[in-house]
Amino acid sequence: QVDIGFGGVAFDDRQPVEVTADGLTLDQTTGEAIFTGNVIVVQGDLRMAAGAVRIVYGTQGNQDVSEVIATGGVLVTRGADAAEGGSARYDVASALLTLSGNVLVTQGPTAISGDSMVVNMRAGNGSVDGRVRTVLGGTD
Amino acid sequence: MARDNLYSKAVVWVKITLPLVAIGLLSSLFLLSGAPDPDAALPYAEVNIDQIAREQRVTEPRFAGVLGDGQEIILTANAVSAEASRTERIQAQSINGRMDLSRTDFLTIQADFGDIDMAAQMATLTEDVVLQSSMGYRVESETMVMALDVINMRSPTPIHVTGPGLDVTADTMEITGPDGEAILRFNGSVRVLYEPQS
Repeated sequence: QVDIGFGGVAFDDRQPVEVTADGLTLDQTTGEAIFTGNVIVVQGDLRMAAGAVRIVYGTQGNQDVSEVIATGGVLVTRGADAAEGGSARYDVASALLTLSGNVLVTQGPTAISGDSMVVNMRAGNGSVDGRVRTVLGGTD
Repeated sequence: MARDNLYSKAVVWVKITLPLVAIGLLSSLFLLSGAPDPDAALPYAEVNIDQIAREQRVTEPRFAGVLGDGQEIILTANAVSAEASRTERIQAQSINGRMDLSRTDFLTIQADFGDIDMAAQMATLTEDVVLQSSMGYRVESETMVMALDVINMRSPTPIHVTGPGLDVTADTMEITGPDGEAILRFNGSVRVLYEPQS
């Protein structure tokens, strides 16, 4: 397990979110919004690109988002840090962003790959788990 | 005594002058008033008479239908006309309507023009179509094709939805409501701006 800082600064998830995609389906029965087709989510300085993004709303019906699930190859960038993975899941309540499926995190010169990555967006730090390989780029 | 004479003289004069004034007033009623203009007396409506004769026009029509499981749709228009040959196609102007989505939620509908096909139970609303839902969402589009017997609405032209903390634009939109629960589908360069409600 390797600890990483991701963006370093605490992330405010109350900022406005902008999502662009090819298609959007709002399903009243399941209370979900599904974006499909090169989806780009931008919130503050966090940017996530994915094949499809599913937004699950809170069941108490207060219309607040409880979970964001991105699939189909996810690239999350924040400041100088970038993280790639097969899929990503962001839990709004705990502000935990988990990336899974051969994750590759690049921070400036260093690159860390592993099976999954968990970042606490509020604290701005996280850890990469599984077969972790770190490539420290020398400052030539 | 002199005072009595003055009083009686005054009465005599009044008895003469008052009727004269009355006659003057009465005559001014007829002599001084302008001759009545026969033409202006009956204002005619400047409407194309033969257009009315050719078309079957209905003013303030009201159309109601029942969707899916019991939700009601009501469309009222200013004026409606249909070609003589095909009476099942109706052209309506400035449509106002209301459509129940569920027991509590409803949608108000406004459009400048509408083409209602009674046979196919479809209404095509065009020009400044505005739908406002009871949940606070407002949908604006140029065209909206609505089924009148089931919840199925389609907007083939760019659409703009605004709501509490939400702003969606897309190329096309479709609302289908199998068994009462509505599914919204946006297609083509969808852009959503969402402000989390604090």
